[in-house]
Amino acid sequence: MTRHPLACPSSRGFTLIELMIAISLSMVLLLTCFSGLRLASQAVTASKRLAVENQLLHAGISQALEEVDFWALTDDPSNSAAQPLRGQEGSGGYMPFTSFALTPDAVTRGPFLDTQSGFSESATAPRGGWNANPLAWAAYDARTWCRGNLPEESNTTECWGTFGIYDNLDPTQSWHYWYDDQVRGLVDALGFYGIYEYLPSNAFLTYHGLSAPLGAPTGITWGGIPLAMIQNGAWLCCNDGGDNNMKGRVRNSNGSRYFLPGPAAAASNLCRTWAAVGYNGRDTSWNFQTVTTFLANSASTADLLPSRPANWPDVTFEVHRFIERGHPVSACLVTCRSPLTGSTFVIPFTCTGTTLRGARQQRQPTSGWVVNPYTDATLDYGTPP
Amino acid sequence: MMRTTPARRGTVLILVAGMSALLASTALVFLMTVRDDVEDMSVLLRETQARIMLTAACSYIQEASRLGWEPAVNPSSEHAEAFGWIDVRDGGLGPRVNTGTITPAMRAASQHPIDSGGQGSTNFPIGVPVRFPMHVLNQPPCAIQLTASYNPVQTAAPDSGNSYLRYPDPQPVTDNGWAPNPADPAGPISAANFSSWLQGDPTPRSNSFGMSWFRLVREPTGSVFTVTCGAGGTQGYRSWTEVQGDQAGALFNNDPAYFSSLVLEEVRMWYRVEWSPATTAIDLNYLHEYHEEFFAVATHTYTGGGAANPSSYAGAMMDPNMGGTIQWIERLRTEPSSW
Repeated sequence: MTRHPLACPSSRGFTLIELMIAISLSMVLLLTCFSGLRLASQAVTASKRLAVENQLLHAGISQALEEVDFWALTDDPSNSAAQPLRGQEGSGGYMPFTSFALTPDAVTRGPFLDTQSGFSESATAPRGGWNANPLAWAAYDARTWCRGNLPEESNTTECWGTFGIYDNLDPTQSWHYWYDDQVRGLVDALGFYGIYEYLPSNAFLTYHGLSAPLGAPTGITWGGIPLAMIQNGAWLCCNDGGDNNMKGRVRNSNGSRYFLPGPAAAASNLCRTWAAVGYNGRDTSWNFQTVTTFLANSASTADLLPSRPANWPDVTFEVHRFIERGHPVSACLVTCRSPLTGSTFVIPFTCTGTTLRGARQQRQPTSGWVVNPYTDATLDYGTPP
Repeated sequence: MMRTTPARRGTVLILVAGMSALLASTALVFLMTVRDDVEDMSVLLRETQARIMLTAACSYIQEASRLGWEPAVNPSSEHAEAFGWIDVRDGGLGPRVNTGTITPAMRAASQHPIDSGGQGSTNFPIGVPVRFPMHVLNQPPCAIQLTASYNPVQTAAPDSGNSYLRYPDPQPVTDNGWAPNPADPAGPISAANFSSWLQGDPTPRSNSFGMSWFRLVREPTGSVFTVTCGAGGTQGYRSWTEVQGDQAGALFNNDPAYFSSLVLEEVRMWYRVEWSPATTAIDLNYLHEYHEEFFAVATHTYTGGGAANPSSYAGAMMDPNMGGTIQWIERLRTEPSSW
C-alpha cells in the first residue's frame, strides 16, 4: 500500500498533547526570560537612577567646594542685591564684607611714631578697623605678638596690673595702643569671626582700652578692660572663667566658638555673638536645639537644580563657617532627597579653602571680582600690601 | 526518537540568540552606566587630591620656616634651626640658619620684613617656581619603626617581671648597626649602616607616583606664597619646555604629545597663602594648670580639626605649632602668570 505523503510521520501535525506540552514549556521559558529581562531592566533603571544621584551629588560636592573657595553665596561681588554681609548691623558694628574704608573710628590717638619701623600715625588720622599699611605692626612682626605672662593667671593683685600684656609695652619705647586699637577696630569692622585672620595667632580676644566697641555695653572693668570684652559683658560669654584672670580671657579667645552668619541670618545682628553650641569641644551643652539653631544661622545654602524634573533628586549644598578653637572651619553638607524612593542622605565634610581675609582680597573695593590679585585694589586693602 | 527539523532548530536559535542579545545589551548598558559613574567620580577624586596638596603645601611652608636648612647633612653636629620665612630676630628674609649672632647694628639695619637686609641670603628663592612632586618614598631618610612596645615585660627568667631598655625606642627601620650584637653583647658597636639609614631609599613607591604635586612661588614680601595644587601625572611640570630644561623627558617617554595629554587630564588650582611666625609662648602652655587651653589662637592654621573631631583633646589642634601659622588663604580665580 502506498502511503500518502502527508501521512508521513515526519511531516504530520502535532498532536494535542505535543502542542500543550510545547506551549507550556514555551510559556515557562518565556516567563523566565521575561522575568530576567524585567529584572535586568529594573537593574539598569536603578543603576541609571543611582548614576543620576551620584552625578548630582558630585555636582553638589563640587559646588560646595567652589563656595568654600569663592564665598559667592555669602557675598556675590557681581550682584549688589546678593551682598547681605556688607554694611552696618542694627547694633552698630559693621559686617565682615564691609570695606575698612567705610568703618572709620572717630577716636583718635596719637601722634604715634614707631622708631624702629619708621611708621607714624598722625594725631588726627581716623583709625580704621585695620590699618592696611604693612608697616603698621603687621601680624608677622614679632613686636605685635601678645605678651601674656604667668602672673596674670594667678588670683593676686598682679592680675590687675596695667603692664602691657596686651600692649606690648617696650620700656624703651613710648606707650602705644596698637593692640587695643586693632582688637576694638576689628570687632567694629568685622565682628568676632573675622578677627582671627588679622590678629597674630597668640592674640587674646580682649583688650585694655578706654572705649567699647560699637553698640556694645559701655563701661570699664578691672584692669581697664571694656565690659563688653569680658565674660560679664555678655558679648563674649563663654560662661567659664572669671574676667579677673587669664583663664576667662583665654576662654573668650580660644574656648568660644564664633560663626559667620549666613545670608538668611545677616539681619539678625549675629556678627558679635558667640555660638551657643558649647564653648569648646568637650562641652556637654550640645543639644539638638542649639545645634539646629547654629546650623540655621550659619548656613550659606543653595539648591543645585531649582527647576529640575519632578522625578529627579533634590540636591542642596550648604557651607557653615565658624571658629573652633581658633581654627577657621568650613563645614559642608550636601543633601540628596529622592522623590522616587523617599530616601534622604547627607554627605558632611570639612575642607581647606579660602578664608574670610582671602575672600575679601578676591573682591574689588566696591563691586566685582579682582582681576589681578597681585596689583589690583581689593575690598581688604586699598592697595595690595 | 523524533528529530527536529531545520526550521525548528532555526527558531530555537533565533529565540536563544535574541534573548541573549537582550541580556547582553542590558548588561552592557549597566556596565557603561557604572563606568560613566566611575569616570565622573575620577574628576572629583582628582579635585580632592589637588585640595590635599593645598594642605601639604601649607604644612611644608610651616615646617620649612624652621627646619631643613642646614648647609649640609652632618651627623656629627646638631641640626640647626632657622628662624622663619621672616627672620624673627631682625625682620630680614629667611629662612637663615643660626650661623651667627644678630648684632644691634644688624637689627637696626633691617627691621622690617620687606627689607631684605644684608644679613645673609635666604635659602629659598624669591619669585622662582619650586616644584614638589608628592610621591611616597620607599623609605624616608632617618626612618624609624612603628613598633609600639620595644621592651615588653618578660615573663621568664632571668628578666621575669622586669621591664628593661635593651632596645630603646625609636629603633631605625634600617638596622644602623648600633644595636648590640646578640651573639656578642659586650662587643664593639658598629655604625656601618648608619649612612644608609640616614639617606633612606628615595625611590618613589610605584602606587603613589604621578598622582599629585604642588608648586610654590615666593612673593617679594617673603611671607606670601602662590601655591599651585595639582592632581595628575605631570609631576608638577608646567610645560614641555620646562621638562626639557630639567632634562626630565624620560619621565614622559620623551613624548610631548603624551605630556600634553597629561596636562589636559590634570586638575590645577591656584592659591595665595600668607605665613605668620606667631605662635603662643610655650611656657604658657606648659606651666598652666589648664595648659591645654592656654594658647589662644595659636593653631589658627588651615586645618579643620575642630570640626572633624570636636570632642577630642587629642591631636595637633591642641598643640602649639612651632612652625608658625597660616594667616589667610585665597583661591585665585584665574591662572597667574607666574607659578
